[in-house]
Amino acid sequence: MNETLERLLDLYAGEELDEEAREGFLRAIREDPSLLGRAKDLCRVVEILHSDPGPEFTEETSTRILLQMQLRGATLGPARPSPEYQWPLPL
Amino acid sequence: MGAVSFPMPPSPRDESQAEKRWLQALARGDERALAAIYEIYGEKIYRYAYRMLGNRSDAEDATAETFLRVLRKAGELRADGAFKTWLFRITRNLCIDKMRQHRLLELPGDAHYNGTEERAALKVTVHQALDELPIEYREPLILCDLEDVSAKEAAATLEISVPALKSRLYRGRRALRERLGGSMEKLS
Repeated sequence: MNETLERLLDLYAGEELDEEAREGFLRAIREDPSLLGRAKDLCRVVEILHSDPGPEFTEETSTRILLQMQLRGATLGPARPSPEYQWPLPL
Repeated sequence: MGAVSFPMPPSPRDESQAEKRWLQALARGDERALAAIYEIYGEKIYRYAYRMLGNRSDAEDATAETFLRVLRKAGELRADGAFKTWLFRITRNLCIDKMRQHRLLELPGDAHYNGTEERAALKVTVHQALDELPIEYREPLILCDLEDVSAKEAAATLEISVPALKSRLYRGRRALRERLGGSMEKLS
């Protein structure tokens, strides 16, 4: 596979191609079954990574971290939501 | 007539304004500020540390230490938009130190994956493959593909250019695909 197609394959898998380039790449892979297979595999890798929910950040996790900070000398006042997070409505 | 407030999810602009205000408050010695900054970034930092280190205990330790560094540097921090990148960079350095210790001590990572046994096993396959990648490929994948950090921020965190980041990201994806090999079908 030539260098341009290699580059397009990476951009396609990362959804970084504009519509015109994407169409051109899709035409090219329809004519090349091995490229089609590689494109599918690479897209699947990206999809698997993007869909990984990752580690849970529970309230217990947060409490343990804050406790560690306090044990190491941090003084933590109660965090209040910033006024920008509020949506005032008249009663 | 009174007013009632409903909490709304913060937009990126809100987050940036809140960050600026709390950093200024931290520099003034406001005790609420560290907890507020932790509320904005605590989860992001913990998730990044966990992805890097692979175990809860070390990730919690690295997260706590990251925010303690914020406290120690309170007077020097600037609310100029680069704070998030600075925070990630601190976490990264702490994680790299811990990874070096792990290599010396050969500590195992733990696996906290949800879902069915089969799905969990497949996720372990992906994470093992990811762990086996060289760190220069693994870091862009963690930041950009797993934690959805922008290319610009990821590049700044890793102290490389955006083209260099993208090159590593693309190579990393290909290397991960190679390592997953026959497991790819089961993962679809």
